[in-house]
Amino acid sequence: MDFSQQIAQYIVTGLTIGAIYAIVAMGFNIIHNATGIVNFAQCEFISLGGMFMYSLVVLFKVNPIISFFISMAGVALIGALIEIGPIRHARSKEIIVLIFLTIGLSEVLRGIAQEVWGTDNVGVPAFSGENPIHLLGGGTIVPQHIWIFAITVLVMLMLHYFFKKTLMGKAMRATAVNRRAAALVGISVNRITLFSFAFSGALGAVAGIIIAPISTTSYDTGIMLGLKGFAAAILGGYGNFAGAILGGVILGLLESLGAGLVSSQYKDAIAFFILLLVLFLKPTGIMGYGEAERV
Amino acid sequence: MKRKSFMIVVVALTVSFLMGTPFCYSAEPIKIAGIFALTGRAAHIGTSQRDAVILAIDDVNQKGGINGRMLEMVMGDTESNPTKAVMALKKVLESQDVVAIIGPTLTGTAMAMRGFIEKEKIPTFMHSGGDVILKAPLDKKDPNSLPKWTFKSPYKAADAMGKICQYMSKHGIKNIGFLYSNEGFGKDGLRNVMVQAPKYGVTVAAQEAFQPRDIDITAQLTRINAKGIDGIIAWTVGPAMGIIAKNIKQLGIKAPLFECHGAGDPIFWKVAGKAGEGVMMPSTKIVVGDQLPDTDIQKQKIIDYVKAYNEKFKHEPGTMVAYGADAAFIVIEAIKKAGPDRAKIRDAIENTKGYVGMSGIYNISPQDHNGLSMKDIVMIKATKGSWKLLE
Repeated sequence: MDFSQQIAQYIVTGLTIGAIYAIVAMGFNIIHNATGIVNFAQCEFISLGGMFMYSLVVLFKVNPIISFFISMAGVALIGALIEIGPIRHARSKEIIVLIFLTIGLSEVLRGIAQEVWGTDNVGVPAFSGENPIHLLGGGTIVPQHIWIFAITVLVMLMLHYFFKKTLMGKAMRATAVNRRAAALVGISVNRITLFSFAFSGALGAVAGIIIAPISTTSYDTGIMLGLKGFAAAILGGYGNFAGAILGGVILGLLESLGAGLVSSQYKDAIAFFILLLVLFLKPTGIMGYGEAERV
Repeated sequence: MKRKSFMIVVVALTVSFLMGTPFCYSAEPIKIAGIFALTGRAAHIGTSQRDAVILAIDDVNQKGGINGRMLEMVMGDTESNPTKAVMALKKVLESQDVVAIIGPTLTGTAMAMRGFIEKEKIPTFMHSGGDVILKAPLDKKDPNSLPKWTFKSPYKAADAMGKICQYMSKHGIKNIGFLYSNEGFGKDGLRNVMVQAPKYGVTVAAQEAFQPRDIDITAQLTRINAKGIDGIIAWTVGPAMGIIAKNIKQLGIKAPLFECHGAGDPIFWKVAGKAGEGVMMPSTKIVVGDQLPDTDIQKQKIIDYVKAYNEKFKHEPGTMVAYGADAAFIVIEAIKKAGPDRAKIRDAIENTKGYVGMSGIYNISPQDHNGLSMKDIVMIKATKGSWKLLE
């Protein structure tokens, strides 16, 4: 394998992992924009997506396509329940209190998942086989990588359409810009918040489902992906959608190229060093606008 | 309001008092502590080792206990995390009077607990893999300050590595890539391969690390493969065992894959799926008990234990179960011999000679707190969802 082929392999790998980070980052952003909080239960949405998929496909032998949508809807429902229950009824609406609440909820969800599925890592069959595909210009992937790319791009396009063209999407953006003003023009902020939790639940589930055949899944598989997705969101500019994609892809590439070209032992350190560097030079992230209230 | 909260406190105290008090034991049970990775990334190993220990304790208690006293295990969860491991250990020791400790599961947690155990002087039989547990001096300035109270049941990782290298050189594999998880166990493996490989004329042409939670290891494998190797050793337990096997198939790497002595576990097939086919590894004999020659003195013992394990827990034991079981049985034997006295139990464990266990035949001595040798290890090959004895 010559050097250019190696580079091609690193890039392909980085893009795949980056795509997953991007979806997770989007989930963080949607809730942030609607409520201003960081939802740490996002990690659990990823694990739950993977575990629902595993249960349906492997244990109950349901058709994978149907399982995909049921898992997504299931996690979206859990997201909605979190909002309707604890988040909406929290006595204090302080951002910091709500953030801590999501940490607690995340622990609860993980605990339940552990009771239900146990602690083993389990595999989920790939959507369409595992025969390697050799790409032009070097690099080898499995069909699942194509699924990851395709689904990520599709999700991004749908999100773009949703936020730019639909009334609901516009209402969500309005709420993100100014909650009070949005409420004054008749947007139901409660409904927007509810929707944002369901939405990011579904997004987290998608990430968990499409990566499961590659990485296997377990009750706590989302912690690492969640953390990386969070880092990607910050890197791109927290709350910014284009930034989430950019942040995810950059982080994925940094990890993969770092491991391949520099040192596999310090690949995470390299990635996070660059993250710190970016934040040092531009605290709002690559695509962040910078808010007036930031001092 | 004040009155109400006072009542709650009173009720809570009463309940906790009642629950903590043994009502009517004929004799106080002898307590041992079991510290396992019950959650976290090594949970699949920790829980099955817990089961192995439970089975050993049940066995003793059904036969009437030790001198009429039942054996009881107090459990602690390391959460696969060194800091939490020490916390769990302290919690158990503060609340209960235990005579010995079994566990923990991971080398990192074992290293964290070791100093405390030596200071408290409690005999501890660990079932974690890394050799550093016994080899690294307690006081960095004094190379002779080796652990006195700590033992471990898995054969030395150095021997497992030696077994792989021996097998490789016998089958013409000369140039290898070494892949290890970037934590205690993996780094221990790296030190070992550097010593063992040259002994058998094998060259380590490339060495790469990965994080235990990584979801893709193709970058490292690409780098290793570029060095033109004819064999790969991957030193890790957990999901990465399967991810590496899958990534190797994806990249079309033809070199055979060898994994560590912890891979021979049902979890391997769950994480690797079809990609696991053909992966080779050193293992205890427990996973290939029925394939052993009839002359093997461990054979019958292993078959009986596997049957009992299967009946109780409804799944096949993996290679790690053997370590948990041996640790428990040797400690129990020592308690039988020495009575519930920490120092005497330690001495009894240290004098265990010719004990036929699941993992091999233990000859423990003051110089060797493990007692197994390379003879006790077999090479196995992952074949059709199960294991095939190679030699």
